[in-house]
Amino acid sequence: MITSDPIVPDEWVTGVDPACGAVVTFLGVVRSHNGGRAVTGIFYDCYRDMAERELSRIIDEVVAGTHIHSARVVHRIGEVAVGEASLLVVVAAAHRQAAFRASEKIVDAIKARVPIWKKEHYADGAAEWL
Amino acid sequence: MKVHVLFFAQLRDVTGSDHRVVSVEDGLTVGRLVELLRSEWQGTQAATLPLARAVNEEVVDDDHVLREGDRVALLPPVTGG
Repeated sequence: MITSDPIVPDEWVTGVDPACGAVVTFLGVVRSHNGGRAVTGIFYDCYRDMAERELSRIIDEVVAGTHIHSARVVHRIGEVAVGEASLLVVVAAAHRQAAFRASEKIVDAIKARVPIWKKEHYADGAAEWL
Repeated sequence: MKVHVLFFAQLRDVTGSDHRVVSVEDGLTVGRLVELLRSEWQGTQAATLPLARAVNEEVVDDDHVLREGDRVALLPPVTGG
């Protein structure tokens, strides 16, 4: 799902099927520096209807194509400050190897396919679309 | 016929808008619509920015034929995640 609200990971790592022995959580966080420049925050623009649809597709594909039980994705949009999470991916599987691999696959697919764009704000006042 | 053109990210900054209703001839393709818009943006970054195209939230090719009321999204290279 897409949200403008701060991401609270604990809310998403619950209600996992007891057949799952591995729950992998990935948190994408706004970094303080990029390319040698001091970053103060990132603005995320989004084509919301299409992004929601594409996130669902990615999850369905990875669940169908790997040995994981379920996956949840939350992507935050709008202004996100340094140190705050912009992406949460939670993957549950019977065993850890599948969970680790699937979480990486999901993050890579999100970065390649979902219509979301970042504008980085810098300490010197400048801002740039990445 | 009228179609809705949706702008995002740097394209929104350049055009000053996130949405525009455009009157076009029947049977216009997405590719031709983008050409027409790019000619308006000549001299700006938008003229040469690589753009994927989506119609009603599905990615399409340049030869996709537009219909009345279509939502045409012009998508700069995505950088989410």
